[in-house]
Formats: sequence, structure tokens, C-alpha cells
Amino acid sequence: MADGRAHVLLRSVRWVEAGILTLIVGWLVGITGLQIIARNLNWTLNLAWADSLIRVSILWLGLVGAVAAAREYRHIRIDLVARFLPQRPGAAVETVTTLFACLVCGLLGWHGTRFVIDERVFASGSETIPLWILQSVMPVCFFVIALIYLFHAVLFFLKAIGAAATDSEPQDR
Amino acid sequence: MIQALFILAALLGAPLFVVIAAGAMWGFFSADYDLQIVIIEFYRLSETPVLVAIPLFTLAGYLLSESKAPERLMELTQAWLGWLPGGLPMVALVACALFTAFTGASGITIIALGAILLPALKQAGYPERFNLGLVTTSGSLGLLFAPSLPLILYGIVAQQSASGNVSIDDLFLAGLLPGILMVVVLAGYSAVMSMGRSETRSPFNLQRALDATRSTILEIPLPIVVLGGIYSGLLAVSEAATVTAVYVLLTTVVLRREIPVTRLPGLIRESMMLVGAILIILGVSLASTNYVIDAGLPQQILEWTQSVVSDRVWFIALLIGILLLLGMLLDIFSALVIVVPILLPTATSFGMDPIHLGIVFLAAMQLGYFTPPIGMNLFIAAYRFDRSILELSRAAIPFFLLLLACVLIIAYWETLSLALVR
Repeated sequence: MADGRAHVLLRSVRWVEAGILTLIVGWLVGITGLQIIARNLNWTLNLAWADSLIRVSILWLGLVGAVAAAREYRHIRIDLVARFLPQRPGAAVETVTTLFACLVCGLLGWHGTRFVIDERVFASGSETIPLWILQSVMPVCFFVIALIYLFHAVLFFLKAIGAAATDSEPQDR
Repeated sequence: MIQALFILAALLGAPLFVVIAAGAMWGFFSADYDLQIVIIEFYRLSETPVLVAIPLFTLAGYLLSESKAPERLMELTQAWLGWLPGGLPMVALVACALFTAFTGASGITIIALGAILLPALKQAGYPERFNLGLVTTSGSLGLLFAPSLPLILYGIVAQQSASGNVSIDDLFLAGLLPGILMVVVLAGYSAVMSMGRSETRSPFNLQRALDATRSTILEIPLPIVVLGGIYSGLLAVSEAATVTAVYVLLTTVVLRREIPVTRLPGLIRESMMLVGAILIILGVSLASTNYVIDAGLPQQILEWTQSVVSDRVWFIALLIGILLLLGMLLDIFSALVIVVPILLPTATSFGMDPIHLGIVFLAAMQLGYFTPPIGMNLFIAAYRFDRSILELSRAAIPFFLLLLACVLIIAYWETLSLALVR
């Protein structure tokens, strides 16, 4: 029963990730496509405002994609250990590396929060969407990634002490 | 001491972006900076307009590999080139190179085309070991052709380092001849291998060729529009990416309906995970590069190199040695963002053009994809074809040596890269 609930949760998380990423990609394809058409047909659309929003969308896309990659344990890494160590010692090593990742991402999230707070204090207030709201994707995603790695660390720890025998990690790449 | 711990963490399998971020934070911390600087640098990701090309090309590549385009591309090249001596391997090389250029050498080529190629090669009577080597090698062959992601990323990183003027358009031009050299050399090897195997060729059939052309009528304009647009200068890189994404979405989802709309969000998520993995590395490396330059590391590397090697010839030899070593350990994206900023000043001081350096860098790293122990394509091929790493490594040796010769030619014969740029 707990398994079923976890499964539903996992599916909805995936669905949310896919939804956000699809929205951003759809917006990117649409707006950059429109820009090309407008430029070539000499339409007098003023799309200059879109440029900065396009660039911020890349930041969003990258970070939300990074959250998904962290959850599926697919960030780029040198995975000699996972390939050549036996399962339990390997899991012990991965416990340490994922805890390290959790710590570093937590720090990034913390300094990101300080950055966003400073930006908010010094904001000019002239933009339609305040910049600090768009920037807050950085601390939010880094904190989420930190949490995800904490979760991975717990799973690896359980595997290392033999409490969870099955190899439930998704295949790398 | 701390730095050694970080390197150990990387070798033990911590995500590379974490290791780079940790290195940058530690460096700035020891130099008494406010660590907000790491986030400020990361935020520079949103100040680089050309980055939009990365998600759009990646999406197009994923969609293409999920559609039936790989099969059609195979049939097309086979119908037109299959009658040549060594025709089928040539088909494999050309199809893989084209496909890799569009999908960014992330192993998709082996998965999408390998499964069609391997049985076809076997049926045509080529030896098993040759086939495995060919397919594994082909997975990274198109790296030097537009619009490959590593080429774009090199341009971005080199521009950030502000050492000379490196335009991505020039890189696309520069990669053309060296890329063709690699394909031609491997094609020649295939022709030699096919000697004495008369039954391996299928006679040319005009009807079949025309049919194959007709069935790819929707795909054929894509490389023409995109590559033509880029190489002629009519389309900027980011525009070419948009055109590619829109075109591929239209053909695969709307016109051919090979990818149902309901599968689109899942595929977008899948492809954006790769984009996220690349961009987060790029973002934290903006910070680490800033620190590394602040700490004077490029200068130290320059002085060290000048004390070890005295002229260009030996510098290039050293460079290739280091790149091959690096290629075994790091994937191409991480290697680009970490090493290029440190290397660029040294290379230019030895009279190397930044564009030429980019081509040499990627050509050498391309070998890393199938160099033991951790060449990524070896593992992908092992997984896909259910063979041992050892068997695949052995199969790849002749290809490795041939391409190594190509890398040496590319490195020492600068004109090959720069002829089209100037």
C-alpha cells in the first residue's frame, strides 16, 4: 500500500516536471519562432521586451532540468565506482558523495537566498515582473536538489548497511 | 589539501557540477570574497543569448531519434551509396555523422542507428569485430559538424574567456574539413576491409533510390535549410536552432504523427534533463573560472608549459597527450567548461588560433568517447549490443589508431581548420 502511494507520488512529480519544462520549451519555441517571422516579414511588432525574458527562461529551463536530472540520479559524473565496486561498498561510497552534493547544493541555495533578498531590497520596481521573482528560481532549485541528494543519501545508506537489498537506482545515462 | 579532497570526491562519483561549485566556493572563501559571487556568476547564464540554441537543438535531436527518421536516413544513404566498395560501412559513417551532428553526440546515435546498422553489416558479410568497432566509433563522428552542441559550447566558453574573437559561425566552418577528413579516412578503411568480399555490395537500383528519396521528402530539407542557413550566414546559430526545433516538431508530431502529442511532455522532460545537466555545469564553471583566473592559474600553467616545452611542435604533442588523458576521464561538456579557459591563454601564446584549438580539442576529445576505461560510448554500446567492454575496446583499436592519425594531422596542419574561415 505504501508502495502504491509512493508510485502515485513519483508519477505526479514527474508530471509536474514535464509540465513546467513543456511550458518553458513551448514558450521558447513560440516566441523565438515569432521573432524570426516578424524580422523577415518586417512586421512592426515590438518584441524587444521578449529578449531578456527568453534569456531568463534558459536559466529556468536549466535549473528545472537539473532538478529532474538530480531526482533520476543522472547528473554528469565520473562513475568508475558505481561500475567497478561491488554493490554494498559502492553504496557506502555513494552515501558519502551524495551527502557532499547535498551540502554543496544547500550552500548554493543559502547564498542564492541572500542574493535574491539583496536584489529585492535594491530593486527599482520598474519591471512588470520583478526580477527577484524570476531570480528566486536559483535558491529554490538548489534547495530542492539538496533535498533530493539527501534522499538519495538515505537510500544509499540503507543499501550499504544491507537494509535495502534491491538495486532500485535508475541506470546511469 | 582541500582541493585534493574535491578531486577525490569527483573520482568517487560526486556530480561534477557539485565538485566545481565546491571548488569555486572554497576558492572564493579562502580569498575572503562574499560567496554570493558564485550565484552572481551562475546568474550570468541568463546573459548569454546564444544559449537558447542548446535546449532547442537537443529537443530536435531527441524527437528525431524517437521518430522513424533514423530508419529512413539509413535506407536513403544505402540506396544511393550501397553499391560502392565498402558501401554499407560508408552508409553507416555518413548517416551516423549527420545524425550525431544534429543530436549532439550524447550516445543517441549508437542507440538509434546502431540497432539497424549492426545486423545489416553482419548480413553483408563484414566481420563481427569490424562491425562493433565501426558502430561504437561512429557514435561520436559528427562532432565537428554544425550544429553539434560541443562546438557551440566551445564557442560560448571561449567567448567568456575573452581571449580573441571566437565566433560560433567560424567554428562551424572550421570543423567542416577536419570532420570530412575523419569520415574519409574511416571510409577508406572500410573500402579496404570490403576487398575480396564481392557479395557485400548491393547493385545500384534507381527505382529504390528514388523511392527512398521520396519517403524522406520531409527530412531532406532540414539539413539543407539548417546547414545552408548557418554556413551561408543567413541564419544565426540561435535562429537555426529555432528553425530546427519548429521544423522537427512539425514533421514528426503534426505531419507524420510518429510521435503522439501525449508523448511530447515526457520527451521534453527527458531531453531537458540533459540540458539541465549541461547548463548547471556551465553555470557553476562560470564562477570557478572567474576564481581560477583571479588566482592566476592560467598564468602559472602558461609559465609551466613554457618551461617544459619550447616550441609549437612539442606544445601540440603535449596538448594532445593531455586531451586524450582528459577524454578518458571527463565527458566532453565538463572538459570544455573546465579546461578551455585555463588552456586558451597558453595555446595562444604558442601561436595557436583559438578556433584551431577548438577543433583540435573536440577532435581529441572525440577519441575519448571510446577510450577505455570509461569512454561513454563503449558502455552505451556494451549495454545496447550486450557485449563485454573488453570485446568492444578491442574492436575499436584500429578505428582509434586511424582517428588518432587524423587528430595529429588536424593539430599540425592548421590550414585544414582555418582555410574556410579566412
